[in-house]
Amino acid sequence: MGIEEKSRKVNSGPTTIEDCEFLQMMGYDLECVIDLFEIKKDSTFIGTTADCIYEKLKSIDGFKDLASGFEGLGTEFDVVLKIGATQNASANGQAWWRGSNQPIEITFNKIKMNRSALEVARTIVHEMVHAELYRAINTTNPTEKELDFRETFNTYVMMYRGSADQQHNLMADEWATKMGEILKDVHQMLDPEGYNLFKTTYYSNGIPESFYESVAWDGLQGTISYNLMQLVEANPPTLPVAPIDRITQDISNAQSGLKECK
Amino acid sequence: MKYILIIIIYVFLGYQSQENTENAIKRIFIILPKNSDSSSKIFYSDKKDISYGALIYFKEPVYKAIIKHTPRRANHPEYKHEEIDITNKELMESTILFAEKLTFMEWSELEQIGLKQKIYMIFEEDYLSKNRFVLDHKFKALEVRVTADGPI
Repeated sequence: MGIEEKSRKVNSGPTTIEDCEFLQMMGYDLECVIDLFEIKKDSTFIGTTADCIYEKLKSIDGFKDLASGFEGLGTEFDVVLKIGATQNASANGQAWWRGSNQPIEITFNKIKMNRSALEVARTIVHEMVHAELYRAINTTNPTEKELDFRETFNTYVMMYRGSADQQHNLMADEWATKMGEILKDVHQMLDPEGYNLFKTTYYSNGIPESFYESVAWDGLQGTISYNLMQLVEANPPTLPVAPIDRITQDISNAQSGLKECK
Repeated sequence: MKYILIIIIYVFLGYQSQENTENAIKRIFIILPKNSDSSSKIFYSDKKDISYGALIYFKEPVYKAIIKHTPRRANHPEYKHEEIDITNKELMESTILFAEKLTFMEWSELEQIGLKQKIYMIFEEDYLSKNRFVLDHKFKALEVRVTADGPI
């Protein structure tokens, strides 16, 4: 948890509610406000549909776990969410590591925000994974888990050129399923009526989990895992549709979802 | 004098009309093959009365374009695309683009153009059929939404 100090600056602020309450007892004029996240929003982001979607994502356990590395005052790295121009004008979003003394900047391409709410949610989750990967790689206080992760990541560095390839391949191998789970949990929250309409129209037997994993795979084309999937052919009745055909169709269907976040 | 004035006005109006015709925005028609092989560049799929369209992939795997027609009968709250019939003569006055030949940047431009004017698709099998030689044959054109996405 992060504690926001409201009225008095101290050099090293309290990082727990107990610390804050202790300081209050000692006479410091502090307001102990629990702020779950130290992910900041730029003015371009606040009040937008993306902001609404992000707020819904915050209530999802999987997303909270993903963002937990940036929680609390005193965390090494902050994240800033903004909407504007990306380096690649065709990109939906970008996560920019600007060095250890700057917040990680996640920018959502302004001209690409006219997408379905689920697609925007997918972009937010995808960029947050990038930010988490940057954090885990660069933290100066790695946990044992993070040290193991670095060893894994070094393997990807040796195998693939370019940080995007390294991260996307790692994302494909380690994160695609988790990202799908987050999207599944948030979908109905975005717009309940829109969700029901989408389900009735495209998946009358219920939206399968594989749909959300397909949406998570968007942006991971070209990774080794994706390329291997392309080699898998349909084999009825056990595999009625080839995985790539299913993913392609699901991605196309996701595009027809409603844009609203209520 | 009066007649000279009328002639001058007539010529002036005629010139303006020609200029307006030249400056009028040409309608855009994309010729799309119904190719259902997901390993190919263009992957077409349709769901009867719901949507008709294709996903287009490029050499760089993370780049893709989507062209999609959502008919009015689908009752989609946001997309109610029209179907029109268009003659050869009208097509000659329009911009014809072949989906297989378009680059990613061209699809990106179409996405932006589509925000300001309607874009249509005609199925290749219809456009290239022998009916195109039939006088007064009308092609069915479907209004579409075009999107083009790069890396996420």
